Amino acid sequence: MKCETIKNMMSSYIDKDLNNIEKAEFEKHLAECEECRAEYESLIDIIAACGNLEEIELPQNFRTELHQRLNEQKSKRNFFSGIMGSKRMKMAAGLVAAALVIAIGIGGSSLLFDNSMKMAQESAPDMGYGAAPAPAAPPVYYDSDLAVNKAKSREFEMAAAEERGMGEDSVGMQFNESLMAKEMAPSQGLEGQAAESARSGRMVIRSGNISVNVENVDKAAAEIRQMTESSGGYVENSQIDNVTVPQFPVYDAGSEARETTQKYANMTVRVPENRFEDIFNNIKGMGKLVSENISGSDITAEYRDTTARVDNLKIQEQSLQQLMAKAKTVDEILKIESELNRVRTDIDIYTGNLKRWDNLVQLSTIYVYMRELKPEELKSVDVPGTWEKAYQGFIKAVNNVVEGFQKTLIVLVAAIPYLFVAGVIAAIGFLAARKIKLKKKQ
Amino acid sequence: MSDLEKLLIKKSQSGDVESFELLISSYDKRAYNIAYRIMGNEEDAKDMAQEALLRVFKSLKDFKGQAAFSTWLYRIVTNVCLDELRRRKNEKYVSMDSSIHTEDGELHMELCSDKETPESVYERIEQRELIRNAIREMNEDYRTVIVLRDIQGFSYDEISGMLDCSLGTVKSRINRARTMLRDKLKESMELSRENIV
Repeated sequence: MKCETIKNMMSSYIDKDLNNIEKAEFEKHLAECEECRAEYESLIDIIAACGNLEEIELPQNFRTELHQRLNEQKSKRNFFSGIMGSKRMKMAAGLVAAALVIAIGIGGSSLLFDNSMKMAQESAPDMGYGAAPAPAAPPVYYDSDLAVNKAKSREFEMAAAEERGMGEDSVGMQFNESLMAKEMAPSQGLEGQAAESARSGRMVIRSGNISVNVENVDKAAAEIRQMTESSGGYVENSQIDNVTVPQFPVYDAGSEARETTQKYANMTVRVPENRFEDIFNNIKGMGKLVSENISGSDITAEYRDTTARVDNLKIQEQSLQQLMAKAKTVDEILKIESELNRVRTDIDIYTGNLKRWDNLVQLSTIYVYMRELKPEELKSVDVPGTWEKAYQGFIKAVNNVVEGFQKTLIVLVAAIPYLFVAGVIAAIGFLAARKIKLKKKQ
Repeated sequence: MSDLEKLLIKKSQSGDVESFELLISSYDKRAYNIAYRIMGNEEDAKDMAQEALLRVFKSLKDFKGQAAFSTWLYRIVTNVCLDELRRRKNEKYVSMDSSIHTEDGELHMELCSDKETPESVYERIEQRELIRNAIREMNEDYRTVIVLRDIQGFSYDEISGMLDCSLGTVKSRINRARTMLRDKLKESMELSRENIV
């Protein structure tokens, strides 16, 4: 062993932090190398001297002074918890803040879910919808309700893709949308710049998520399978569900369906790293894209470290085997055996990791989520004309503004007790602070 | 943690000063000594130790018993000291005591009880003085591990808990600190020898 290594081991040896083998090697080297021995002895001396440094006594007034300060502290604390109730104060402030946030938030979020509320209202028309909609509005809703619904759900899908599933809608599919987002979330890697780093000889694990709406799930799934297998990859997981979802009545000529079935497919495919982009784009092109995401995590450093560790362990294994040949007593043999065992287990674990990484790097993973939409649904999305859309948008905006105001008003009124309490507390605090200031000045 | 300690912690958490004083009575001296070695003089040590103990009292409600109470307490002590040193560094404040500081007489009393020849006593005092100075001159991170490991004798685990860094970092830092201390001592010993001659 080199002196450098020995020097790094010195502290560990002194503190008995080496295993038996390392310890034996260390001692052997020390017996041979004068320089290291001198260094070791000087360290021992110094450490002993450090331990010999006298312990000093606490200053005489240390505890009495501390006692005073502790009491001061305590009375301060009592004042706060007694009068101001710092926790309660915090809570009240938090509630006020939360109320404001909610008030503002309702205005904005109603943009997203008011449609579903409207639909619910319309299925029970006698409940009325506040004072907001102009008399002319309902027919518009009825006429193009399907279209509005579609536009809505598209909007929603986009929102879901962006926010990874905060979906809340009365229509079943949105729920599924958020489910999908949840499924996708864990596989999202750290950085999204896999493409560049992969080329520079780095080890990058790449993975992608796609969510598409297709006309025929079975066909698309078969296509993906075929594409994957021809590229030299494989399908790791494939699942197709046929789910019956309740639907709100659709005011469309002739349609009275209250329930629809919908097909979903979840697939996980592994494809060779160099075909990743190709296949990813192909899948994307199979239908209407809902969301996509590519990520890569760079494991170059970890990989190198682990390789080095394995190399080291192998060397250790060899020297252990040599030692084993020289061992005489049973005790020695047992000790070496157990050490050898440990080393080999470590080697196995690390090589396993390396293999797993190799596999992950060579084969990228694509998670596919597909939802079946009927062809007319896929296309009908853009049916309403610009004019109509503008009109609907206008009415929606008016509704939102009115509703937002109502809700803000409600929340503000509801918050009055908190505001009152907060105001009183603030006044007390202010007065107290001023008093203290005045006192200090005097 | 003993049951008594648990009880005392509980009572202290509700603000009972007497329980708290009883609780720390077995730790305050060591806390003071840690502060003394890190700060390098008694006055700062007293301030820092008291500050740290006050902070312990204040934040005791956050103590959930994940680590031993003592480790947690000493961790606060070292943190308070290191924060103060860093603050001073930023303010370009130079402590007069920390560079030139001579020891008082209590040393002799303690030493006379040992059966040693006057020469060896002198040598040992001298050596101590040198070590003290060398430790004082070290960078605070290295000084802290020397204080905790070699003066106070905490285990690697405890130190890693106190300094909030990994065991590996603690190990390498201790190794590095010891080598540094040795080099510093070598230097100053040569200097003092020259002075005598």
